[in-house]
Order: sequence, then structure tokens, then C-alpha cells
Amino acid sequence: MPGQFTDRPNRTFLDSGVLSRLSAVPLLSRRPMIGGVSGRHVSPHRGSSVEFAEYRKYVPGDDLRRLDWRVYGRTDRHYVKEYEADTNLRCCLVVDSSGSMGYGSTGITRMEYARRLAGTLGFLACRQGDAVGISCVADAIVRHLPPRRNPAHLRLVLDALEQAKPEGASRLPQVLHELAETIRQRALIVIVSDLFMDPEELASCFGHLRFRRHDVAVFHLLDPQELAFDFRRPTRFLDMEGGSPLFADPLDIADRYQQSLDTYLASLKQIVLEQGIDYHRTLLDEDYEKVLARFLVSRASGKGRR
Amino acid sequence: MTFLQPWLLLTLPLVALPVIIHLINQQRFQSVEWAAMMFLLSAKALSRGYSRLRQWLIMLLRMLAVAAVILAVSRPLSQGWLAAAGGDRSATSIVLLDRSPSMSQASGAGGESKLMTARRQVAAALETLGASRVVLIDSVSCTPQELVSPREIEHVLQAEPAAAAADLPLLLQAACDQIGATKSAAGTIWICSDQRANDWKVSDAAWPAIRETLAKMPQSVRLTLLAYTEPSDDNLAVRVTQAVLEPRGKTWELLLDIAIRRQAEAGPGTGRVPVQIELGPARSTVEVELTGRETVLARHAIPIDAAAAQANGWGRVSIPADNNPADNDFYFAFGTPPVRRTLVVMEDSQVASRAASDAEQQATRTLALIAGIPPDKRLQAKVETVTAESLAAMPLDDVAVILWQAALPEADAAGAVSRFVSRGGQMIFLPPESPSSMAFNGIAWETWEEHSPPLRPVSWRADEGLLAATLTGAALPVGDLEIRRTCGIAGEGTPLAVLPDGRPLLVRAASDRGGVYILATTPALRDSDLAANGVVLYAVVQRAIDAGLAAVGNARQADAGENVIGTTAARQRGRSSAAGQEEWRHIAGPVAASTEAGFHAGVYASQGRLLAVNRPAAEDAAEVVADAQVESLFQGLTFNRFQQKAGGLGSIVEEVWRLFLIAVVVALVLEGLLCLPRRLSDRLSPKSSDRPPQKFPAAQRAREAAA
Repeated sequence: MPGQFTDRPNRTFLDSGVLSRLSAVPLLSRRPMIGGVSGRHVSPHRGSSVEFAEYRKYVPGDDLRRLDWRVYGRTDRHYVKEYEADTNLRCCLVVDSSGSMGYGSTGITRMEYARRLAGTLGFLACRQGDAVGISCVADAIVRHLPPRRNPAHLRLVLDALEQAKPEGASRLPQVLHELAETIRQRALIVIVSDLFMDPEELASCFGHLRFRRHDVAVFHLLDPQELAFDFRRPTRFLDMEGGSPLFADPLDIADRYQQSLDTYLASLKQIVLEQGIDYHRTLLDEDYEKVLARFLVSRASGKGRR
Repeated sequence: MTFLQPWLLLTLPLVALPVIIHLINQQRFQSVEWAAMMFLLSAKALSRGYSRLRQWLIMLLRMLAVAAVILAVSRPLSQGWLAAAGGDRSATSIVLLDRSPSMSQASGAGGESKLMTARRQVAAALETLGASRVVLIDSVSCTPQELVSPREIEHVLQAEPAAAAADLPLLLQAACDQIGATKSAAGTIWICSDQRANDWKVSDAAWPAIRETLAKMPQSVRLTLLAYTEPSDDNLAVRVTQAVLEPRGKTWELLLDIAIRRQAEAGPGTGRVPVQIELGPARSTVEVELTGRETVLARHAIPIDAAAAQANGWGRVSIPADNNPADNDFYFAFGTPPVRRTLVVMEDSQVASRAASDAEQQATRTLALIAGIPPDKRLQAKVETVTAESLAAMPLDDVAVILWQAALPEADAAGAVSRFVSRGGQMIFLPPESPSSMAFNGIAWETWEEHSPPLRPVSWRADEGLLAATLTGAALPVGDLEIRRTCGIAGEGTPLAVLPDGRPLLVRAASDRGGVYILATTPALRDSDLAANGVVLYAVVQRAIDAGLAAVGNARQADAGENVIGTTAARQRGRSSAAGQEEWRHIAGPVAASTEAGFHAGVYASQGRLLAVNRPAAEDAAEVVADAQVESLFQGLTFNRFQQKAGGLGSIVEEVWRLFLIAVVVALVLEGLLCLPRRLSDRLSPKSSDRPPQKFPAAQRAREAAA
């Protein structure tokens, strides 16, 4: 992004190569969006795009320019030809900035990974003319920028991402409820978090977002060490979100840990299936470009779903 | 439990090693910043139940494994209390070995005998226990013999089977003396016996003294009985109860009474047993139909060459091999019957009064008359009447019976009579007219008492002794006797006939050999009708003569262990006598050590006389002392009894470290199974995957806190 951020050229979490390669794939919404301007996303309303939608009987007041004269000549009846309306979308990036996001055993922290994902998505959305906003949440909304189409706003979004520090406890479910009430128009809600919370609470807030007809996408960031839990020695585990430390012999509790983790992941999978959430389990040792490419391609193939 | 290396038990605190390692590991923890605390908290909550128990079990198994290793290297011994009985290496281990014929019984034909088993087991046990000093006292010599090593018990001649019965009181007395003499810190007495009643002599007066001696010993003395009481119902024992040479026309016949006894109390006496009779080079076999527990082949006649009959001879009776080879053979000796020489001793005429002299002479004449009539006309009898004073100077070697109707012997006469009795002679004392207070062999005369009306004996021993029933089973007419006057008898003795007022009529005094009988009346008419009703007196005198002849004939039967042959063993047992100083030569039977000649079955010869030595008759009786009775014999002592079996392959004391090694392996395997990862366990047990989804207590608590 050398051209856009000339005064702050060093966005370490953005890679121009990645951005250029991913620009080839549009960021599409899986659900109709109601935007203020024309864009690349499906709208629930009829508009003036090139894609035919349907014929409708003329009623007084309709624009005579939309009257299909050929049909009138054949049938002696007045029909109005309607086209799909393409509009823009509001992309709300919800980035978990609680203390647990600071964990990373593969040389990159979860927060850093989240920056890369959210920053790249924000740039891609902005580039195709969509509004981008960001909410950094921990025990409350730490930083909130509503979606704007202004490219200068993207700079603020990226600044917010850069300045976000992983600290404090996580109250993501409460924040998501709050966002569901706050964002009035339909939007693409992209959640980047470790989701270390009760699946039932997540189910509740996902349901709330879906009720508001938002398109919800979730990047579930997990560290390989959290899945493997291959500690050998007795360990004192310090809670990164400020809780009490816990002393345990990993050999003793490894099996229960795995059992608990498996149960949690199974519950989460069930919830995202039921709620129609675009869920992506992401390991920190994966290349974020591939993760985003998979995300964009999957959404592009699902275009037109209403 | 006892250990051969008990000092290694000092390392038992190493059992705490797993706990210490666990604690050290707890201290060597690392601190890690962790994000997924909710799963850790959930895992911790899950691990409070079974997992905690599993951890404890793993710790316990590790400790058990360490303990088992320590115990194994400490070389534990099985049967701890027995091992404790012999575990003190500094203690003197005294082995009392019953070598009686009944100990030759095996568990099956050709199997290992009780004696062999006992020797092997004791040797192995003492070797395992590491006994430093082992002393063997066998039932033949009753003399302590120190062994170089415990294994020597299996090889020494003094542990081989013998034909003589054992004397447990004598063995124990020797053991007491040995412990007292060695002054060792502790003593362990191992008794190897089959607990036969005739060997244990439970009524022996020595038992209380032995018990008291052992209890008062300053050393700690432990007794361990290895009891081989297993009966053998199929075992048969053969015995020749009588071997008599009788003329038949111009030839002679050897008449044998052969008894075959079955050990089993009950059971059908079926089957025929071939009995082989060896007589010099000639062998003959006669089949005997078994009926009941004991079958007697009476007066089995074997023709004898006339020339051979002029001398004496010997033979052997055998039955087929069975569980006990020691009672399958019986040796017998026979010869022309000797002159039945009897001495009638009367009161010195200078001392006796005139009136008394008539009555005594009447009784003396009656006695001489009865003794002079042999039961068979072909037998020769010789009766001499002598005074008590002249007896000491007379040769008594060929005298069978002395009928003594005078004051009890004293001084030289008493010595001559004692020697006579100890070589097997029979004495019958009759009361003098003027009894004195002098005693002989614990017996003394009291005063005369008249009975009017005359008394008749009310009870008498018809099963054995001089008043026993006849061979046909008919009882002697003892109850028909009229006793008008009796002289009281003072002292200990066994009454053979008793009057209605409880006074004994005939008493047998105690004696090692021979027989000493005391008759409370005389055959004089004023005293009794013994002369008029002469059957009883005749039977008594003739039976006494028969018994006395057994010691003076040129062919004799003797029980093994009697003091007939003056062997070293006999002298050591204190049973040697003047008569036993002859030099006997072994001519038949199994070869044994010359020092134990009289204790093994066989035939011996000396100066033209033959002596057939066999096991005592009591050895054929399978009577066993009850366990409770044995316990009572050692009451108040540290006594353990072990029931063993002939041919038993197991040892009495065994090292059981293998069991502990197995315990180590089992503990480690179990520990490994418990340490398996949970997922593998889940795969092994499909039910565990059906668990309902778990709640997340940490998230729940956070939600509650937010609410």
C-alpha cells in the first residue's frame, strides 16, 4: 500500500504482494446488502444493473423509461422490466483484543495474525468501494470506528488495528450483542477471535446478529500448542486474561484437556452450522494468505444467495 | 516373614522414593502464559474423581514395586513361622530322626519313603536357613552326632532305616542334654516322625520331666514336628508269631504261625497273598486268603531233615512288595527245644518255723510238681529246689524260671536275681510265711490276711500275660479259684488278677526285660485251691517257663533294639546288659553297620546259637498319636507341627523371592496400564465416547459474575 499511506509506510501486518494477489478475488457478501451507492453486492431491491430480474405489470407512477415496449407491441399490455440492484456493503471488522490474543507459540501472536487478516480484508473491501469499520473488543469495546467508504477512513481503521494491544478479559458475546443493536443496516460482520468462551453465549450473540440479517464470518484463531497440549513437565499456567494461575501436571490432565477441547470444538461447529455462520478455524501456523483466499473464494462461489 | 538377608530391609524407606520424586517434580515446574484456561479448568474439574484415584493408584503401585524389589533381594522365606523357628543361624539345630520301620512307608510302591522325604526336606530346610550347626540324634543310637553340613543328613548311615522302634522321650532327653551342654544361645529341635503311638510312648513318665526341662532352659528352644502320619491302607505286614520244631514219627516238622496284618482298620479282606518261605536253599510259597484285618496261618508245617533238626536253623517269610518294604520280611530261628529248667527257692530251714515249714514244703512240692510236667512229652523238664542263700552261687544261664517262695532276695542273691531277670529270665515270687519289710524291685510284702469265706478273683487280664486266654479263645478258670489267705503287696505294679476286695492276686512288676510276677498267695491248701484246681497254676508256671526259655534256647526271636546284642548303639542307649556282651555274627538279612547290629532285621549267630531279630510287633499296629495329644505333650513350649507327606516334592522352607519379582512385574504392568493416555483408554472402552457434552465451569462462572 505504498500509494495510500505515504506518511506511514510501514504497516507491518500488510503485505503488498498478498494484497495484489488477493485483489483478483472480490470480497462478496453471501446475503443481500442494503447500501447507499452502487456496488458489487446483491441488493434486496430492484435497480439498474445489467442483470435482468423480472417483469412486473406497470402501475401508474412507474418510470416510463423502464416500460418494455416490445412486450407491449406483442401483447398490448404494459410491463415494466426490472433489473437486479448492485450495491455496496458495510464491512464491520470485530477484532478480539483481550489478553488471550497475545498468545502464540509459532513465532506469531494471535493478535498479530488477527491484524493481518483484518487489515487485508479491510483494504480489499475499501478497494472495491465498500464501507469498512472496526471494533476492537476486550472486556468492552476498546476502539470503535463505524463503517465508512472514505479511503481516509481505512487509514484510521488500520491505525486502530496497529494500536490494538492484547490485554484484559474478553467480553466478546456482550459486545457482539451490542453491535447487533448498534449496526442498523445489513452488514458483513467479520469476527476475528480465539472464541475462548462459553459456546452457548456465542450461539446467543450469533443468533442476534443473524436476526439482524447481518452476514457473519468468523475467523477462529487457534494456536497449534493449544490443540496439541504437549507439555511434559509440571507447569504453572498463568491466565493471560488476568485470572488465577493454575498449577497442573500436563501428563495428568492432558486427556481431560483434550476431551474438553474436543467437546468445545464440536459444540462450536454445531452452533455455526445452525446459525449459518461463515466459520473458519485457523491455526496460527497457517499462511494467512491461503486462509483469506479460501475465505474469498468460498464467498465468491456463493454469490446470489438470498 | 523371615528373610535370609534381613539387613537389606533397612532400605525399606526407599519405598517413599516415588513420593519424593513426585514432590521434586512438583517443585521443578515451569511457568507458562496460557490462553486456553477454560479447558484447563474444565480438565481439572474432571480429574477430581477417577483421575485422582488413578493417580493415587499409580503412586501406590510404584511404591509397591519398590517394596517388592527390596523384599525380593532380602530373600524372603515361605512359611514364615517355620522359617522363624529355624531362622536364627546361631542356634543349634538338632534333628531327631525316627528310623523305625513304619517310617519306611512310601506314598506308593517304589516311591520315596517317609524317612527319605524327611531327610531330604530337613536337609533342604536347614541349608536354606543357613543353619551353622546341625546335630543329628537318630532313634537307634540316641547319641548326638554333629554334621558338617545339613546335606549330610541325606547320606550318613545313622539316618538309614532300622528295624527298631523309636523312643521319642529318650530322643528328646538326649536333645535336652545336647542343648544344655552346648550352651548355645538358642536351640531348634526338628522332630521327624510318623507319630506312631509305640514310638511316642505318650504315657511315659519322662514326658513331664522333658517338658519341664525344656521350659526351664535359659536358651530359647523351639520344637518343630514334621509329622508324616499319612496312612497306607494297602500295606500288609507279615510276622511269624511262632516257629516250633516238633517230631512227626521219625522225622521232624517245623510248625510256623504266620500272621498277615493289614494296616487299614476296615475294608473287605479280599485277595490272596502269596507268602514265600525261605528255609536255607529251599523256598516254598503258600497262598493265604486274607480275612479281616489280621489273618493267621496257624501251624503251617514244613518237613525238616532229621539231621538238620538236631541243630538249629533259620528262615525268612516274605510277602510281595508293597508301600512299606520294612514289614514285608520276617526272619525266624528254630531249634530243638531246650531243657525246661526251673528253680524253686524255699525259705532257709534254719529260719522257718516248724509249722510254717510244712505249709511251705507243701507249696514247694506243688510248684516243683507242676514245673516238672512239660506240656509235651517230648520236652524235657528239670526242677531243682534250692534255698535263697545258695542261689547266688548257682549258674543261672540255662534256668528259665525261678519260683521264689521265701523272703525277698537281698545282697548277692538280689544281684543274681537282677541279672537273671535282665537277661530275660522269669521270676514268680510267692509270699513267705513270715514276710519282712525288705523290698525287691520296688515290691515288698505286707502282712497275711485270712478270708472267710474264701474269695474268688473277679477280674483278670485275659488278653495278655500269664492269665491270657488259650489259643482256642477259652478263658482260664481263674474265677473258680478259692483264695483263703493272701499276703498284702506293697509297691507299684500291674495287677493281672484282682480279688473282690480290690486286693491284687497276681501282679507284674516293672522290668526292662524278663518278667517279675508276684502272687499274693501260695498253692498250700490252707492258702488257696491253686493246687486242687491246678489248671490255672499249671498254665501260669508253664507260660512263665516258655517265656524264660526264649532267653536260653539255642534259637531265639528278639525284637530289634533289645539289649540282646551288645552293640555300640545298644550301649549308647543304655540298654546293654551282661548277657549282651556276647559277640554275635550277622549271617542273614540286610547288611548294616556293625554298631547297629541289633537294630536291624536279620539273623545273628553266636556260639552255636541263633538269634532272629525283627521289628517289634507294635510297629505293625498303625496306631497314631492324635494331634491334640501331641500338642498337649509340648504344652507351654514353642511348638509347631507340620503335616507332611511321603514323597512330597515341596520343601518345608522355600525362598519365595520369585513371587516378589512377579509382584514387581504385575505392579509395573498395572502402573503402565494406568499411565496410558486417556484417548487410548477411550478407544479400548467405547462407552467413554458416549459422554454428554461437558459444560465449561470457567465460562459459567464468568457469566454468573457478569450477571
